[in-house]
Amino acid sequence: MKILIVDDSKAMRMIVQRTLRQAGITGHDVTEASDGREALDRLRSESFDVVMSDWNMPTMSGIELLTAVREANVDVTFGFVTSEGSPAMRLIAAEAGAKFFIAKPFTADAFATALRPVFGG
Amino acid sequence: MSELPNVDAIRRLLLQLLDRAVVLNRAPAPMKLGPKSWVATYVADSGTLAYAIAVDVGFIATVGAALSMVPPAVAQEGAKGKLTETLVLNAQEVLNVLGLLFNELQDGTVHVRLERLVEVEKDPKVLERVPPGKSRIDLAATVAGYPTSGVMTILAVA
Repeated sequence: MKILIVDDSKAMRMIVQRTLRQAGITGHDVTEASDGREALDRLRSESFDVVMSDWNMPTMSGIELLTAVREANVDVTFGFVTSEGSPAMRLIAAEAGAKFFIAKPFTADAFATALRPVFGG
Repeated sequence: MSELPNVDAIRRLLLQLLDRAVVLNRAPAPMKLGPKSWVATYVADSGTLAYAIAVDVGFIATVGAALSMVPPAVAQEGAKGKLTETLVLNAQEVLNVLGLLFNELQDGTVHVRLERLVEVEKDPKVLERVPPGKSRIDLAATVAGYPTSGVMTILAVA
């Protein structure tokens, strides 16, 4: 699968990749974007299977990105990896079409559980 | 919003995020903010300043290095004032995630997010926005594997 990791923190993008490996989710083609705008540009020009996005980012937030993705009819499984862990935010994400929601700080177990429906296993 | 997160909750969050043992103790004396201090401001969705976390250069260097396993020697240089962009951006991400604790205190009634992290020397006016606060907690932090340490002061502003 092709995965797009979207986070304005380079360290967090690296940690997400490391945690994917620790969760046994390996062998995938991973690409990074540093904010929602960059991610949207990539999604318009390239096909991805999964987007793992932060919520609070400069230029375009994660929820704005998800809305734009849906408006553009981009077929991709979208989920959040974010410090916004409140029930209200989870509801907003789900209503916008997010398929998974992982709160920072996360563990490999949290990744495995949340992403099992997406990657199988 | 005068309530502050407890020390154990902060320690647990840092441990999970940094994947290293973290020791947090009450600082022996309140932190004095100066030009080399850094201030993270947290605002409600209304734009009102709700919380602030002031940290010293040692805190930026230590947690900034620990987040992405930057070598301890880089953290040591950072703690002496030679902070790299990576250390600052990493520390900003740590402070961003710490905002989660403020939201847990609000029980969903108010949503708070990190507004920015700024060095006082670059924007002295940030101190005017951060009065002594309704309540505060001063903590000294060390992270396993790093010889540096730092202090942080959490302020409930609103």
